[in-house]
Amino acid sequence: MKRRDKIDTLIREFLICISALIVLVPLYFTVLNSFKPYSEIAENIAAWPKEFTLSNFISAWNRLDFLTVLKNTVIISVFSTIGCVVFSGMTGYWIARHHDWFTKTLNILFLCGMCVPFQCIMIVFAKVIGLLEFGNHLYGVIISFWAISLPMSMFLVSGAVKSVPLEIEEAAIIDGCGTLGVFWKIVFPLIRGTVFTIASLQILTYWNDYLMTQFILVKKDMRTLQIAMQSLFNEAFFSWDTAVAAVTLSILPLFIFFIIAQKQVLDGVTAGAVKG
Amino acid sequence: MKHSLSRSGSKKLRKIANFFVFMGPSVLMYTVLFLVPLCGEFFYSFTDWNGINSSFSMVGFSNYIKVFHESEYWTSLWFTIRFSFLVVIFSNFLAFAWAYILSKDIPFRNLWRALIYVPRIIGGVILGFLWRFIFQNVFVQFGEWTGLSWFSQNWFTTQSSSFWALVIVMTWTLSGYLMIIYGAGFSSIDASYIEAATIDGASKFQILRKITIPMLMPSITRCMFIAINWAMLLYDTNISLTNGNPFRSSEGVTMNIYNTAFRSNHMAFGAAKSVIFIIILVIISFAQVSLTSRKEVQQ
Repeated sequence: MKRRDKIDTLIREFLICISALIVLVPLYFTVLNSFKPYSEIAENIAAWPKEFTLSNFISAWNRLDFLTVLKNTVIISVFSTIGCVVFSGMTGYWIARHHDWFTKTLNILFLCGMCVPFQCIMIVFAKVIGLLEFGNHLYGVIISFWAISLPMSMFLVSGAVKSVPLEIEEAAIIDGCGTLGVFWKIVFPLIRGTVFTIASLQILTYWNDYLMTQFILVKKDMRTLQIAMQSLFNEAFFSWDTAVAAVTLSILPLFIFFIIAQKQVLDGVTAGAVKG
Repeated sequence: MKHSLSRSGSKKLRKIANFFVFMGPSVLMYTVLFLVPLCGEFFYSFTDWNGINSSFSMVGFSNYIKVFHESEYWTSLWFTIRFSFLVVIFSNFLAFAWAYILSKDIPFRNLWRALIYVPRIIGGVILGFLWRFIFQNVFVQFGEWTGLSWFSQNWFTTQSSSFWALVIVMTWTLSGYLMIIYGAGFSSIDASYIEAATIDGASKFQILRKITIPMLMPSITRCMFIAINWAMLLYDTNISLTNGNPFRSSEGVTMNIYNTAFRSNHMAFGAAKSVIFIIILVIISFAQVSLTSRKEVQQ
């Protein structure tokens, strides 16, 4: 029995190792080839670079205007996430704690947002953005993200708030705490786990968003990473060596983030699976 | 009496003030940026609005009738459905297999989980560009070495190559994600059921078929739902990987709607297309959920 168990573990280990290798091979080739000049890429794609060159990265950096683009993307992702947590936190708390018909109606309207994808509202959304003069402003993207990601985040928060015992809040109110104080000082720290999960789930969505952002940010110095990549690849004369370095450069921040916040990201998957 | 009335009045006032603090901003943004566009999309689908002129007139169902006569829309829908079907099957199968392998506490379990999840963090157009490099360079050279002509074909110049490219990329990015959800399902199964079955002499395969899969039906429902939605709504990877090539044959529905509305400026026509699309999407999701959740068992 024990020996069979060992063999079973070995087979599993072997299979998963092969799977991980196959899954990661595309990434390996991308990173490897971004250090090679085009002649070497065309000659042998699997070969180790004869001489590590950074010239691909330099030209990709310049053509993407990487620093500006990265700055825009970071600003959008960070502020969108903070706002998402603040607004969906307060809304989720209110919805979990009030049961009058008005709140219930609002709750149903919010839940509708989880069923309707952005793709189905985009035409009039683009028009609304024009009317609000959000175009080419980073805050336009940020506010839009707050609104679009509200339903799911709020849903997760209100689920977490329901598990916080009411007695704690009542005690705080007797001690003279206002509703805002109760939420930020008592409830928010208790649902911190859910909040981190939401934040790490959303920040990746914001970072990778293309469809919504491209309605708002058009001007060259307002681009995010995704939009800059799209225009780089649309330019008529591009060579694979610059292009592949640009890909490596643009996925690098995500890797760093994933290594740091791995646990939160993976927890977020199961929590966010209610919508997907 | 009067005293208590004013106190309850101020209490009510405070509740209203709190409502505006807690709900006000959210309700406002949500209404302006979500509900208005949603209702607008529906409303404009009955007009002849072109997005540029502010004037338009009601035209009833003529946009919808036009959609039913436009073969390109139905081609793209059929393409999306075929593509989604394969992606849902492949990614769920892989994800289930990986989650099954990792359901036992093998060494480096968390490392494998994280490594297989990695593709998921790359998204949007970058995912498509990364794979364009893989298809047009790595695959081609690989095919030349091994003599497998399927790999060294001219990618994105034939209908089937674009189709399979999209299926491969979408499976690659979704499987790791679904694996995590299946993994959560596996760990919620009570170990005593499996123990009891083992003592009764059930084989591994029997346990998988008679216990694990029925118990995992909620996860299967959920994962299939997610995969269907992701695949059907695909846009950014579509434009960056194939961009509809060749001859708009690898165009998904979202891309078709986008091009109608913003390239040809037929906003109202595009709105009608997206209303039809959401109805189809809801029907497919509903059918899937009711089919798979019927098989769920009570724990």
